[in-house]
Amino acid sequence: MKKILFFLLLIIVSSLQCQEKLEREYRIKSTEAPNKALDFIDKLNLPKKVKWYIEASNEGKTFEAKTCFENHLFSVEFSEKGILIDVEMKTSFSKIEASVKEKITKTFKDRFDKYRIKKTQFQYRGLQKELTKLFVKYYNNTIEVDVFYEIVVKGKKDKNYELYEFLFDAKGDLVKSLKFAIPNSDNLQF
Amino acid sequence: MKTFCCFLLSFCCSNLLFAQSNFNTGFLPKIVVSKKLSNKNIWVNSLESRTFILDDNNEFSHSLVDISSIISIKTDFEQSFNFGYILRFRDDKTIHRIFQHYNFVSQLTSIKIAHRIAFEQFYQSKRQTTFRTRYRFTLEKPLSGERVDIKEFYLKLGNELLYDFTDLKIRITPYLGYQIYKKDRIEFGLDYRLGEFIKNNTQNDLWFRTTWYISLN
Repeated sequence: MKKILFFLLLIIVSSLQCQEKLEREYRIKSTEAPNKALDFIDKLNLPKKVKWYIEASNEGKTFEAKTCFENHLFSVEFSEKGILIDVEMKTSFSKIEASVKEKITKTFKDRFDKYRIKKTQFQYRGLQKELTKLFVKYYNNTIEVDVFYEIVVKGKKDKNYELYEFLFDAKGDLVKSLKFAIPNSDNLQF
Repeated sequence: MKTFCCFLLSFCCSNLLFAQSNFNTGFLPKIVVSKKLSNKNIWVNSLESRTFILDDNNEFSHSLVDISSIISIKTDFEQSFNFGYILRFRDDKTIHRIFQHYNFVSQLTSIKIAHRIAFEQFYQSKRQTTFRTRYRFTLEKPLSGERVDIKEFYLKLGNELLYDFTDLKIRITPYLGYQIYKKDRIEFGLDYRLGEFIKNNTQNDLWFRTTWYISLN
């Protein structure tokens, strides 16, 4: 029994360790997106152009619809079958609730000698009906969705800078972290 | 892609139309090989040649060969200091150049921008040492998605100002790039150079450039 528990603990710990994030994103025509996903986006009547992408990563392949709504960049992610996964909204770190922000900041301070936040996204998960409300102008009532914070951080540890993507839940607890491969910029320097 | 081709064509035509006696054109192939020495240091070597298609005498001629070696020291993954040496063979002359660069590269949502500030010293036998400063701004935009992935094209636009304490030169460089593999990319495009700006004896050069970047990491 002890051995099994130890083994399970080992799996959990190793899954919480930083994995390398491998992604490939490319533009597609809207007609190449799953019908279910297209229907969802069409019904939203979004004022700005919607661009469609496929994102292939070590977690699988997903479809993403990107648009600008109310001065925020939105990304709606669907599974290969067109099932809504989540909605992401690009924002600033300062928009996170103070107590949660404090907890997240502590995580970064514990992990890095020095860090800088490069990108913050609110990630909304829940029922399709509730997620639709995010795209209603001036919607004031409560939206019953789960909120996560996806934060890209440039962190310095042991004199080395690396790029990470963190996912925190609504309370500010770390869900997962992935290390990015630093993009090669030789062609911009030499 | 079509827009870029139209831009290249119109760019060529406009230059050929206004080209006067002090207009040169030719090829600038370059190969850049980089090798990571440690987490912070990269060793970069390059070979570049310059061939005129049409020089001042309307003749085809070989102009020069540059061999360079650079040590790049990263302060983080966005900033670096480069220290290098270029050996230039031009006709029967040999020119030695030492340079120092400061680079800053930042990634926006889908655009990468880079700034380069450089200081160069030229050494040549029987000639006085000369100095030059340069500033370059470069922008890279993937043509599909938010990042340049393997088997994807991208646009690279650059603008550089060069000042040798006597005159100013301007370079405009539109390129079309292609990420062949994870560590290989190739760029094609134009390198338009406007020289002798202050002396009012304007020199126009238009180079067709191809650069192959190879990373041995």
